[in-house]
Amino acid sequence: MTGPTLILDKVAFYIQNNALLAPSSTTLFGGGWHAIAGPNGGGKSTLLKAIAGLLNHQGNITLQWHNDAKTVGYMPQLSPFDASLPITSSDFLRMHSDKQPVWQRYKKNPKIETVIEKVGINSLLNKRIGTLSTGERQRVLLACALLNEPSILLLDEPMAGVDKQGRAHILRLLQSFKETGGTLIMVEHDWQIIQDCCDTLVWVDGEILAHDAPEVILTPLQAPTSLQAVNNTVYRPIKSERHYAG
Amino acid sequence: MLANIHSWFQAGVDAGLLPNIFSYGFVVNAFIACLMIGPLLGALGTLVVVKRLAFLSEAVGHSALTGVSIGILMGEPVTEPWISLFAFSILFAISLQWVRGRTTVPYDALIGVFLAFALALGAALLMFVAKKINAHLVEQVLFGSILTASAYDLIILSVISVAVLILAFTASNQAFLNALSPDIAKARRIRVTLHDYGFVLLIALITVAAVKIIGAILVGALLLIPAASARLIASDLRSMVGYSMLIATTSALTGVLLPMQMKWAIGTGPAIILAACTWFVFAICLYSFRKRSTAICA
Repeated sequence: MTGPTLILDKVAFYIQNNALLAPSSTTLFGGGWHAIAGPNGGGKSTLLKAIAGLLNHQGNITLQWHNDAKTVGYMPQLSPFDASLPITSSDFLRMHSDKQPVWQRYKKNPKIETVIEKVGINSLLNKRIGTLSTGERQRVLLACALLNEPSILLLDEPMAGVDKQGRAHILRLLQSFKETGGTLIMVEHDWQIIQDCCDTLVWVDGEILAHDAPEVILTPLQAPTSLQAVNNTVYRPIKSERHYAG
Repeated sequence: MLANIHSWFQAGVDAGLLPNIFSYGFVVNAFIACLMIGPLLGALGTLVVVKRLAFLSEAVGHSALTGVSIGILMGEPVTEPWISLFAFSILFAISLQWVRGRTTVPYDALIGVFLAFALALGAALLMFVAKKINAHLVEQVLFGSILTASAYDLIILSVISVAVLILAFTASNQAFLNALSPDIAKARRIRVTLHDYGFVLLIALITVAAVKIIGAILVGALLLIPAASARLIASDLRSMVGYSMLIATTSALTGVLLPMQMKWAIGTGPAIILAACTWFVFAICLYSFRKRSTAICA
């Protein structure tokens, strides 16, 4: 499998003439692990949602597929879930498959079983989604995103609220997805993860201000000791004209 | 075909297998209608609860009053003003969804506005209706009547049941995913707008089809109470759908047959909803008992 290359051409998003994302262009090469980072309210999630086809954006977003399986996996930002709803992780996974209605008795589906095994959520299947911890819920959401064997994964803060052990588990899963040739695009705040894992970083603050290797963009901010230290640093990422085509 | 069914029931009564009330054709009609209305409202009710749209079914139910009034004024029969009833309720539901997609008003506030409009228009038209017919006949529409379920009603209910059954097999996963996470549904290229319109349309169709038995005022309650009860006692979505259908069906049958058997002068609508409320109380008790047991074990 080779994941698609993503070409953004003057992509913009406006709400009542206010630009949440000014026209921006870049290319994210297929099979790469790309991070989207930037300050809060900078338009990171907006950009990811536009890529996922959730917003009526301006400009062109092109996915150059290298295989026939044109499937996209999307994992949204974690949102509150009503704990009193009797909807289990198993129910939620089955809703992502068209094979068998969720209200029928479950007959083993190889695709679902493979994902459950891979993501390691066997023990969570009969638990209500609303009662899962943040890390557990993120793993279930990731399993759902992986269910239809996507060749590109779009993840909105997959590590948010996840403990160290959970992060290591999710990162291993993402690494193995990348090794199979898939394209990964994720909104991420943790600069250490970006530096350790990602091939490129798209810096978004109202528009795409820079797109380069993480070490190039993050160098001026090396070794921040805390979020406070990062916030106090006077920093403007360089505006990169370079398009990262693989 | 309906005559055959009536004769089977009559044979059952003659053989002493069924109570005498089944020798009345209208009771058999109402019985068959309940066997379709119960599962329909029960199943769709789970989606209503998951989507948190309990108020929507109330609003659509209340809009039926206006539909009936318009129908009577336009010369349709008092007991079967189908054209105006369906037309107004569908128009009402579609308009509500259309306005929702084009404004930033919260959905519950929007439903409140539409509900008030439908009630006000219905009440205003009733004054003119009262000049044409005995206004007490409208009570049947408001609170339901066992006497009014005709062969024509059963045909309409059958058509809607078949349509819902097909959708339950082909689109229920997508509908639930859209209800829980519209973003994921959109990213999976599920046509969420089509699903949203389809949902309100189904609510309108089922509500109207059930209005004659349960009544405009209370039909929304049978969409809500069984699913709300099932939510308390179910362990997963499958059992929630199952319990909801069971509660709705037994409530409908109890509400139709029990007053008839016991010769109580109660309208079918109120009787059905009181039966459903009994289930709700039972569900609350069971839920509290389980919660206490879990706390003691912990």
